[in-house]
Amino acid sequence: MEASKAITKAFVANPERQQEADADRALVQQVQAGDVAAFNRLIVKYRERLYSVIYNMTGNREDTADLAQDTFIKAFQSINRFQGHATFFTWLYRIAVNSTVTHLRKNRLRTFFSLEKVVEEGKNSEILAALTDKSGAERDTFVKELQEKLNDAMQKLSINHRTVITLFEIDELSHAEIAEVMDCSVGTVRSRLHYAKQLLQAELQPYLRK
Amino acid sequence: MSQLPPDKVTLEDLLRLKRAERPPAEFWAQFDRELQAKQLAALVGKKRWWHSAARTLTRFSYLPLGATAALAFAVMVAHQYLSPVAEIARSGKLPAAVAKIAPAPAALRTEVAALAPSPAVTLPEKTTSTTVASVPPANHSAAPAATRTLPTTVIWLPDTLQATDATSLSEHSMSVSFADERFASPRPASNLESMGEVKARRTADPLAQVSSPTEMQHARLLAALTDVRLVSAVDPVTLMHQRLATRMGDDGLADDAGRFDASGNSVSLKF
Repeated sequence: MEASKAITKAFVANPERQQEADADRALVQQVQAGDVAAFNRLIVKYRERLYSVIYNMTGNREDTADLAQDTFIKAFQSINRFQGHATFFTWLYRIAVNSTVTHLRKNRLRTFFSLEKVVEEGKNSEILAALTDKSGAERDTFVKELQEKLNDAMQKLSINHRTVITLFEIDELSHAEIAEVMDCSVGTVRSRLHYAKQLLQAELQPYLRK
Repeated sequence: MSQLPPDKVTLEDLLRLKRAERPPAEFWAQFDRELQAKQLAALVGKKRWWHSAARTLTRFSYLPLGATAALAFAVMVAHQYLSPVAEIARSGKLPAAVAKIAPAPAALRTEVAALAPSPAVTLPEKTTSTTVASVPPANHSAAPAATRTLPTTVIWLPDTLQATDATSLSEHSMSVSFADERFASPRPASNLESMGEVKARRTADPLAQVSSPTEMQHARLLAALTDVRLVSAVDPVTLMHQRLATRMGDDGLADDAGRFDASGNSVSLKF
């Protein structure tokens, strides 16, 4: 309830988000009326963001693809039950996060990571340049090592902390939206975020320069 | 080229790198193909009956606790109301049913009294008088007053009887069911008048002595109606203690025996 109010406030403050939510609602209504193509448009719109969230939670490409597909199928199967109390993307994210958490809990003992390649563009290149002055193969090795170190640090977090940090830092959701997705209070989101950042900072200390 | 100061990399910057971990463009074509196949499979796939059953059960699981308690109470009341005992009580057949017990033939009463152990049947005067009072007065004239109380003394077990052993109790219950069987019998009372005939029947036809399940049920119903404690007069707590002691004793014995193992010249002992 508190999260919904905060989201409404955020929409009032950000008209673009409001427009996006309205567009989603229209597409959902079309799907509910039987237009399957409208759901394909929703898939294309959200597949990359959803993939990113699941990937950063699991650290495994194969599992991520399966979980993202399952999320869309679950959403399609239960779209008639979507009543529009929340926005479509928070509803979709909630399905994805719940499926991923269930998957992670089920396969707690299996730790196999397969990482995607880092796309070096814009700000990312600047960050990498600040971290290393190497070039060529040496730079690639450094990036790979850094990537593994980041993934290790993320995997050391609990599932809830990892989810919060993924949604906030990587997918850039607001506190209220995260609270809506994770079905908890905004205060809980803030405290989890703070704790997760502390842990990550301790883990990644060698790479941080202040 | 680099606009970021080389001595300043924050945690947020590092996490931004995670955002840049993206699959190649060709990945999405395969993703879409797989998703479409799964979507079709989900549409075509027939739902099993337990899916709908599970959904129904889940719906019921949201019932509030109070409603569940009320439902349970309603079921309990309905069960109580529709039970055979309550039905008999409602239909007003209770006095007639009780009356059936009273006019027992004199010889049979004597037999029942003989079967019942004499020390156990000594009843306080109060109990006997109460039970006799519950019998309809119209049937009192059928038998002398002295013998009339006999069957009832067997049926109405006093509190003091609870301390007696199980053997005497089983004799009591046997005698009572025997008496009941005689009372419920449609044959004329003259057939049962002589003791000799009863004895002959007992020796010649043992199966006939066993009361049929319907008769036993009838007897139990009557007993319940008249607030008779026919079954186990032994304290249930005592019985439970006895059973527990026996079981533990057997288990302990088996356990102890299993710990010792002798083979050849060696004896092994497990702890």
